[in-house]
Formats: sequence, structure tokens, C-alpha cells
Amino acid sequence: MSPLHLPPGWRARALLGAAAAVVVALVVAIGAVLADRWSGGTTVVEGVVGSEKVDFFRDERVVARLAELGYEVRVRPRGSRLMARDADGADFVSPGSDTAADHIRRDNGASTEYRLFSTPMVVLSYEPLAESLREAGVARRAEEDGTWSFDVAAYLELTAERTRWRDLPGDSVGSDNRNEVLVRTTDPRTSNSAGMYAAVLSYLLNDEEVVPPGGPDPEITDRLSGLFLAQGQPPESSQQPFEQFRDLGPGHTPLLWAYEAQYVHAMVNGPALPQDAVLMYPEPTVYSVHTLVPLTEAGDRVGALLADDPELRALATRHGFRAEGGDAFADLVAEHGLPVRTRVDDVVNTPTYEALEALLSGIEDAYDDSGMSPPAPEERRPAGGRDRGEGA
Amino acid sequence: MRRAACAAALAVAVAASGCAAGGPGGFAGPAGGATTLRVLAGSELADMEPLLEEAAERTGVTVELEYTGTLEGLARVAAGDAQDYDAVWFASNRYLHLYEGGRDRVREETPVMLSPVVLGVRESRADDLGWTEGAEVTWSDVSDAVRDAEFTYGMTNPGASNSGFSALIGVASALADSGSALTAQDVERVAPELAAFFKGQELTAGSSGWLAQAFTERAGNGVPVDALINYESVLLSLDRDGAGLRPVYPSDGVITADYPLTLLAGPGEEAERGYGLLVEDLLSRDVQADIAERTLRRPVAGGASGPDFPPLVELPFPAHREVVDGLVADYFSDLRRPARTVYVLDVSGSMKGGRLTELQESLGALTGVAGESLEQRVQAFQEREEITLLPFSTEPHEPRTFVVEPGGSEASLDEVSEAIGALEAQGDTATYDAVREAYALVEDAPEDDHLTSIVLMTDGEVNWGTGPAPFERELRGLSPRAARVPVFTVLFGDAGEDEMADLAEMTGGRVFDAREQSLEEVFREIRGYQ
Repeated sequence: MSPLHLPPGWRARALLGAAAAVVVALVVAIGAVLADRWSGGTTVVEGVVGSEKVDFFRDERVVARLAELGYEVRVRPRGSRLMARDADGADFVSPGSDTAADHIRRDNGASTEYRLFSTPMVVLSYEPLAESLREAGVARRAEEDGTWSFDVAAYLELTAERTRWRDLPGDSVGSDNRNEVLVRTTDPRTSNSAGMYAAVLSYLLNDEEVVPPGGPDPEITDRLSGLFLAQGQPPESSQQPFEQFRDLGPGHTPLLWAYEAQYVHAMVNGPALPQDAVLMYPEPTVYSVHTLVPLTEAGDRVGALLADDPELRALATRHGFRAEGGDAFADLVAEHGLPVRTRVDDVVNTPTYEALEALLSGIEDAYDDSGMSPPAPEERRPAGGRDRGEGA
Repeated sequence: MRRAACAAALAVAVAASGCAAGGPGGFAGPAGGATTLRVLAGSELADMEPLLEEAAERTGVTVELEYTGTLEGLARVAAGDAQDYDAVWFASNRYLHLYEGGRDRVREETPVMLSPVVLGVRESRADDLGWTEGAEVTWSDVSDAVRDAEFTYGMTNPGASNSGFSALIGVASALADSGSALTAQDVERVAPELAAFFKGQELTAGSSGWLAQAFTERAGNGVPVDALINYESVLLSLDRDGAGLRPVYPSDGVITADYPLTLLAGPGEEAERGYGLLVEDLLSRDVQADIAERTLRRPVAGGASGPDFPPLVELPFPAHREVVDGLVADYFSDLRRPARTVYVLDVSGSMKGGRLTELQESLGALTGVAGESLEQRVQAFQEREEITLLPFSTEPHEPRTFVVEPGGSEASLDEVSEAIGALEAQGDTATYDAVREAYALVEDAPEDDHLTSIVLMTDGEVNWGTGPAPFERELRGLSPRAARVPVFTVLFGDAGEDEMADLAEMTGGRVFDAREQSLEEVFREIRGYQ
């Protein structure tokens, strides 16, 4: 490969890196690490972030602005529950909930955190299916502004009867779909978005009270586990099912639990969702608060920039996130004529970290337990099998 | 295509086809500036080679693909046994995610394209069955057609290839019709329906590509199969080449492959940068449109133009490895049509010593459960299976036939093992006489539902008995039942390459080369075709 095909700046960075390493190696043994982290006047900062924020960090405008400010931020996606564990070598982590952030902060002895922006959880569907759900009393369309609501309590009733799409009223594209009516979520064992789903459902199942810390009611855990397990193998992170919703249509993903920001970002920046995609506000819903926990000095400086730099905040809005103060988000959705509610009223609080963790651990156990099946094939024959060479 | 790939300086190196050593490795590494990604891949990705070469020119990221079976490869990743690679690329990572800790092996995964596993039916047959465009056809309808209309189809081996694996999970989920993810109880409940469905499986293969080829050859030889269960992309490609296949999208749902390019957790920054550049390129609008146009897979990035693909219903994929492994094991021991194989084994004088020992050990390995992975377990001889050993030298020896008794497989397999151990080498190589004898055994076999094949292993040129021309004439005189039986030939030692290739071709079989890989690996690979 000719060096001319190098990505821009690569060669220069490599040379500078090598030079830096030579100098530093004289002083300390960790020279290589520093060379890696310091390249051409730009500080390289590594972050572990929820997959829903990867697009933001990789947006060339964000990259350019951070470079102007002296940083190259490299992110890798991880589910919020795995984040604390996989933060080795990272300068910051950024989960999608403030309770997870609190926990990571305490675990790592970090003293600060930055609440960057927030986004409510929504349900995405397709118009014909939304109409069927409307007839079944689960979805509603507001007369004033045409935005959709998704009645979570009514949905719970529907799922208690294990209703299938073909059983719903109306002659929709779901009429020959034999799958159960189920909202598709991410993996509750790993991902923040599914944790938010558990937060909303547990609130309703607990007689409209946020579940308290301590042992959760087994009935609630059972019911929630059923709604996750019936979906089959869940995606680890929120980006993949969103893309499948977009690319494979209503037969693949009739209902998707998602971040509102994912919808807004797709509609503003493309690739857009199909025309008949429908955004529904669960009633009630929860807000996902995207928080940054710095683990190093450099991570802290990046956190401060993301929280305060007007240009970066404007870019976050372009990515569909809501930031406190200002009308930027309202202006954006008005500009693009999106059926987005600038005010989301029916919002419940998420349980504390301990309470949610107890709930999710119960669900995790259900995943482990429900796999019981006939003995694995190797057990059908005496242990040890036979010697490979015996035939000779 | 492979030859060209080796010659081009910036080409995709295809380690599996033996050109990795002369490939672009010398250009790789930070010193030269370019990045090389070593990727363990499923063979269905082979058609991406030209597109990857073009991507290499744009990005400077060269991809070295090395092929293996999907389940085998993913089991290796889960076991942490893929350190030689930067990334893996299979039709789906679902099986990996069923392993506890499987996700920890992955740094990042990016679906690059999509293709559902559906049914392609010969147009005339589809018309007969009323499966016209837009008709609602379910997997149970297919099952009914098997029962009532002698409907036949080809499907790859679920232990070796992702399309057969996805089909098995899809069909089981659809027939269970529970509306939610398949459970172990469901599998038990629908076992009779599944066995009835698989009565129609007339053709099997270890890879999706070869299955498509065999399907075409069967039609050419006048013994057509009605349909093919395969990736939509493979079916559409066949149809584009004039196969006259109508895709049927079962309305009770399918399983879709999403081809995630997957960066493993181990490799360093260099690989990560290369991966990032490659993914960005592959997901760009133009490349996505190109993928759709050339491979007939569905694009993942919204907005890419391309052929119009009909909508489909996705079936939930089970969340437990126990459910999946149990279903796959049941498929081999209970659900599929059992295999009947005549092993035609060269025991001429040239096999004396090391070669005979290797043959005995390699074939003997199939009588035990040597491996830990699901794929290796299902490669062993299965319950209900019939195995005939037909050694030959100057003339065919006395054949010995074994049936692996359900419930008593241990004892049956011991007998097979013993018989393999008792082989002795002496005499000349009358290969065609032996294969003729194998076909005679096939003609005499009971008319049951076994899937029959012949495996021919020889280490030298034919030097005795019937020649190829009279043999080919005799082949034409076989009954239709025997004429369908393929000969899988194994090149070993000094076997005559052309003779073996011709024999495989005239019988609809395939040549396997045990000179570059071990004889055991070859016998294992052939299990995917039986």
C-alpha cells in the first residue's frame, strides 16, 4: 500500500509518536503509553459510552470541534451495565442514566460527573400497526398536534393474554403476523435502554409506585422476565435494533423501545426512517439522562467541554438530545416538522440504582433458569467418550 | 477469481485457498502504512472478496479472509481461541451471543448487510402448489406439500452452515407457533411435525454455495429437487442466472442474517483503526448500493438504492444455547432423514504403514465424541445412521454394514471402530470396480428414506480393473434412485487429481483435498454433505 493512501495525518502522528516515545522512554517505562496518548498537540481521550451516543462522538463536526479544542476522543460502545467493568484504560464513561453514573462514580471513587443531556424513552412503530393498536385501546393519537401516545398499562393487559398481531382488530400488515404483540427491547442484562423499560413497567406493576430498594416483589420480576424472555435473544445495545427497525420494516420489528434522540437524529441527519414510521410516547415514560463520569484528568476536561461548550451543545441538539435551558430542541423539531412533543408530561422517576439492580438481577436469573432442557448430547453417552485413536 | 485475487498486489488474500503466503502480508504493518485485518469468516462471505479488494484501494485496509464453518468459528471465538485474527465475519453472531461471556470477546460489531433465509421454488412446481406471487405460504404449508405432493428441497447442514442452522430454528419456531421465542418444551412438542417437514429434505451440503451448485446440477442430470432453502441472496442470484426459481417468503416468519463485521477484543489500535475505516466505507451509500446490486443482499444503511425486496416477518431467535444445541442435536439424531454412506476405502499396497494408520485414526474419530463444540459433536456418526465400509485393492473386499442403533449407539460404534481398526493394506488399485460395487450396494439397499452418498478415499492412480469410460457408461444405466447418489472423492497421497474430479463431477459429488488439510478434517467436512 502506498503511503499516499494513508488516512490524513496518520503518518505525521506516527512520526511524532515515535519521537515522543524515544524521549519519554529515557525518563519512564510508560513512554509508549504516553506516545499513544499525545499526538501532535492533540490529547487522545478514550471513552466508553452507550451505543446511542457513538454517532454523536463520531460525527465529523463533533470531531472537528473537539480537535479545535485540543482533543481527539475515541469511543467504544458498551451497554451501561457492562460499562463499569469494561472501563479499563478509559478516560471517561458515559452511561444513559444518572443512577448508573452515580454507581460508576462511587465505584471508581470519582468525585464529579457531568449531566450532558437527556432524552425521553419512546416506542417506535409503523402507522398500520399503530392504527391496530389504537383500535385495541393501546395507542392514541392526540387531536391537537397529531402526536401519538402508547398506553403502557393497556399494553400490559394485552400482553397478559399473550395477544398476537393477527388477533388485533383491523386489516393491518400485522394481520398475518403470528408473533406476540411485544415491544422489542435491548438486553436487560447489559443495556441501559432495557433498564429504562423495566423502570416504567415495574412502576405500573407496583401499583404506580417506583419500586423501592430491597428484594423486589417476585411477581413483578416474573412478569417482567416473561416480557423480556418471550422476545428471544435480545440485542446488546440500542443502535442495532434501531437500524433493524429502520431497514427491515414492521414485520421484523413491529414495536421498538428506543431513545427519542435516535428518532430525531435519524429524521434530521438521515438516513431517515420510512415515511410510515410512527413515534409514540409511552404513558408513563422515563427520561434517560446521559451523564459523563470522568476517570482521568483528560476525561474531566472533555466532560466539562461537552457540558459547557455552546458549539458542542448545539451539535448534541442536532443529534436529537434535549439540553437544559434554551429553545434549541424545540426550534429543531419545528424546523423539520417532526411529530415530537417538546413537553413530555407523564414521566416517572427511575428506581434507585440498588432497586433497579435488584430487579435486573432477578431478570438475569430468569434468563439463566429458563434454559433448562433435555441433557446436552455429550451426556447421552458415557463421560469421557472414546479414545480418538482406538480405531487404529 | 481466486487466482486474480492472489495476483493483484492489493488483493484480498485468501488464506484458505493457499495464497496467503504470497499475499499482501509483506506490504502490511505500520511501517508500510497500510493496515491488514486478519478475518476469520464464513464461506458465504466469499462473494465479498471483489468488493473488499475495491474497498482496500479506497481505504488502505487490506482484508485477509480465512474461511471456516459458522458454528465452529463462533465456538472458537467464544472459547478465546481466535487470537490469530483481528476480526470475524459470519452471517450472524447469534450463536456467539448464546455463549456466556461470548460478548466479552467482541469489541465492536457492525451489521453490514442483510439476507433472510427463505424458500426458492421451481416456478412450475410453485404454480402447481398455488404458491404464486403474493400468496400466503407458511412453513406448515411446505410441510403439507412434503406429505401430500412429494415436495422436495435442499437445505444445508445445520451443524456446519448458518443457512441450514437458521432454517432449522425458523422452521421449528414457526411450527411451534407459540408467538414467542422457542423453548425446549416447544422443541419436544413439535418433534413429530419437524420430522415430517424434514422428510422432504432431498439434498444437504456443508455450504450454502455448494448447495446451490448441487441444486443446479441435479436439474441438469434429470433428477431435480423442487426447492432450495437458502439465503434470499443465493436464491435471487441463482434466478438471475436463469434457474427459474420463485422466492417464497413464509408468512409465519423467517430468520435473517445480518453479517456483522466483528472486531475482536484482543487486537490493538492498528486493527481498530483499520476496522473503523473499513466499516465506514462498507456502510457508505454507494458501497451499500453496490453490495445490493452485486450480491443481492439487502443494504443496512437506509437510503441506499437497490433492488426492491419484499417485506418479511422475523421470528424471535431463542435466547438459550441449551434450546439451540438441543434442537440441532435432535435434528441429527431424530428429525432428519438418516444418512446412508458407503465408504469406499483404498487399502492397496501403497497405503501400508503411516497412510493406513492415518486413515484408521481419521475415520475412527467419527465413531467417538472427540470434540467439545456442537459442530464436532454432530459430526460423529449419529443414531439411525447406516455406515458401510467397502475396502478395496485389486478388487472390492467384502462390504460390512453397520447401523447405529438408537439407544445402543455405543455398541454399534464400537463395532464400526473395530472394523476400521482391522483394515489391512495389500494389492493394486481398482477404484472404478470398487465404486461400481458401491453403486450395486446402493441399488440393493432397502427403499427407505435414507439420504445416501458414497465417499471414495484413495491414495493413488487407478491401475487395475475398469477404466473411466466404461464406468461412465454404466453410470447411465443406474436406476433413478441410485443415479441421485453423489460420490465425494478424497484426494490423499498420490491420488489422481483429474480422475477424482471427473468422478465427483459425473455423480454430482465434490472433491475434497486431504493433501493440504488432514484426512480427519476432510472426513469431518464431508459429514456436512451426508
